Amino acid sequence: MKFNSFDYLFFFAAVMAVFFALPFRLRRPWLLGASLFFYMYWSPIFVLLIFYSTTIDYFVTLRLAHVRGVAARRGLLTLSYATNFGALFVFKYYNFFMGSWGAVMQRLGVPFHAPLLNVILPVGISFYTFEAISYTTDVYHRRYPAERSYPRLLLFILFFPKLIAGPIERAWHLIPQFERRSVFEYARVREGLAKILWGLTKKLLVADRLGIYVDAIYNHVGRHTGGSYLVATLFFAFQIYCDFSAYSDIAIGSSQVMGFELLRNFKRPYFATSIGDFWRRWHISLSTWFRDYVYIPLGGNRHGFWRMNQNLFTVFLVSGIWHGARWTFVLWGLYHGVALLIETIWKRFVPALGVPAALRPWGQRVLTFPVACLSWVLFRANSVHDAGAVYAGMFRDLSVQRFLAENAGGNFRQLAYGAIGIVMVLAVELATECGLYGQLWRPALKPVRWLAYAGLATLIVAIGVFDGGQFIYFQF
Amino acid sequence: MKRLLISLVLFALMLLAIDRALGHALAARFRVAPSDEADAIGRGIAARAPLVICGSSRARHHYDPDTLAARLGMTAWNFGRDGQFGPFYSYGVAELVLRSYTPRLWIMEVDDRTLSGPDPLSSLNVLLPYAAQDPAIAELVNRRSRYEWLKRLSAIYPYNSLVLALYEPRGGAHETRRGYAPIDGTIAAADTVEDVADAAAQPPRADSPNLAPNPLKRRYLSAMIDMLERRGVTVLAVRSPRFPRGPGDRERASAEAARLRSAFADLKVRFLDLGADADPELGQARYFRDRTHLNRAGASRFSRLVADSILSLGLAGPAAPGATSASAGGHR
Repeated sequence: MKFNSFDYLFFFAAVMAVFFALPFRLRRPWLLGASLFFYMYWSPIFVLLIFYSTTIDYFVTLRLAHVRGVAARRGLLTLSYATNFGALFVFKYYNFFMGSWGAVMQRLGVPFHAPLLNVILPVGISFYTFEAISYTTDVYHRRYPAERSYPRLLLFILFFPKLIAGPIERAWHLIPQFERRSVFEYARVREGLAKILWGLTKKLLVADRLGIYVDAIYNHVGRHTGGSYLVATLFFAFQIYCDFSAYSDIAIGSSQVMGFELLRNFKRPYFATSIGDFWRRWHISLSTWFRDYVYIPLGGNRHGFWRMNQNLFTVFLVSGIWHGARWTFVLWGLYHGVALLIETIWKRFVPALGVPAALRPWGQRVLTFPVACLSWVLFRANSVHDAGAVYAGMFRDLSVQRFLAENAGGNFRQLAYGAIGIVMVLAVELATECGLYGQLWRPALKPVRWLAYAGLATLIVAIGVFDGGQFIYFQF
Repeated sequence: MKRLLISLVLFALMLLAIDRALGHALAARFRVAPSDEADAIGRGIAARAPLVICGSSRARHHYDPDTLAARLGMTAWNFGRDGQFGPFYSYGVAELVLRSYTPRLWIMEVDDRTLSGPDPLSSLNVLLPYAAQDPAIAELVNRRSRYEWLKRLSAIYPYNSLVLALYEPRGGAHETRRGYAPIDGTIAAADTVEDVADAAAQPPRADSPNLAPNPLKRRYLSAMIDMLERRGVTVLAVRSPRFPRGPGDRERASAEAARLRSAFADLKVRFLDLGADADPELGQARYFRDRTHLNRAGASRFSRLVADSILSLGLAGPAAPGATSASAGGHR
């Protein structure tokens, strides 16, 4: 079920109404049933995969609570990892690795027919797999007790607002909230609904609108001027941000209405002052997951400067692969790894320039944004070849006249709509970055706030894209 | 909960007021804006041309009403619209035209997509501003999505994504003459060569999803033809040329022509195959803007070919009395 659909609107209204009408003891079963319906609405069969992995994780962690021997504990953890990563590998990566291996063999002249699987990717598998892994790892390290209630563990995995594309929750954060008696609070519900509206605005008004232009350019690489590639790349930077953060906003808002708090996923990433800072603001629930379950176990920064950089590089490589089974995503991860490596070396070995302290953050932002922006070429391009062609083409043929001629007519309107959306999002983000967001909730500004809601809803109807597709991170 | 419900009701009322006011303003602007995205169908109907051309961008860019009018002695209007591959848009235009007057001749630009293959219907948004006037069009646009009827409760929604186009200072993206939008430029040299390794250059497969019969398209096409013929309008299906890059394209073109000939024979509609073979001169690169569209010179030459074919079929001649007179509200 898409968040940007009337189906979800009706579904959520019904879930919320019944949730608050039910006595506390029935709310958890109701949420579990609603979450199952939400997932099975797309494809009923794949819910069996969730049952399968959660059942194994449930029994593994129950055993971990009692077993003391190191070898036995490691064996149990390995079983959980094999189950979760095994499913992820089969559905997401098997064909990619076999296809790549086949291509290598072909290049070497060795006859090899890669046996490929005819499977589709279960929705949300990368997200719920990481949640399950974090749960069993935390139980293994005794950071969180084994969950004794199977339905509660299942609800942790299946909780519908974050099931398809996160935020990637942690058991210690979400499971205790299922035990908290949530009462209907007007202010909280209103704020949750406002988050949902802002999410829909970013998705329908900005992301899907920008996507029309981006698709027109990136799906026909080799036929455009440098200006069009540059603008399309800039647009994609905002498309992917508005698309993904919109999903998070709707997920967080939906949960908030029912009294649950999900982990924060974005913190105005394009205001980052470095690539390291960018990753503290972008897809935070994934970055912190990698920090806690990959970077720190690898040694983190405990074994010197170069080992730390090696660990960071590994994290970004794995992060790239996590995003998708394509070489473009691997290169995207490597790009960020290299950028971070250069950044840490620069900070360590190059003395600070004599820029006034007040100007420094803005100067750093101006330098960081293009670096982040250029990485999106790899993320969006349909192939490594296309990405290369975009990089090669984007600084050639930058004549304004040719750009205008190429984008005359309908494309120009798309550019104008896109620019309106970007300016709107940046204005809101800038106000938030400067600490003005809190002011909006002052009682004196109530009429302004409601007018803003009405304005956003009207803009969605007037220039929103209603035939747009699924959220981009749905495919991961 | 009560406070929230009251807030939501008040919010809905505020939205409704804004929606009605803005929707009214957009509707008024839609009727007078010079943009090619504005009331193109209404402008065409107001011209009451006895010769109507309808179809996709290939109709829009290939049929020059001035050339046709000069040759046939009757005015023409081109209702072609980008992305309208199936018969749905043409059905909607026919509904609206017949509410105002009865043309003499209706030219449908056709290809395989007229009757076959999937169609997301999203391009029918161009009919949204007319849906309130005509229940048949409302029924058609409601097929766009399950909740289209709900979206259509908004007065703004029919003008979704038209705001900038309606308030553009100039006439819009394309030069248009009686609906015809000439395009300049010549096909890129790289696109004139058939790449035998390219899947698109292979002979068409009978089991291709794009060739799968689409019963809904068939239903709407039949309904449109019945509607027009009941009013005495002569219907002519025409297939215009695509650039023939090589033997693969020629084979595909003749297979498409054979399929269309058979389909329109079933529908008892005259079919004219005016593909590149009909006029070898027209198969030259200098007449094409890209593989599927003729440029201005190509459209002019093609329009003369269409007019000559119509004359040779005896479909044009002295106008029948009252054939172009107003018959708004006339029954079918």
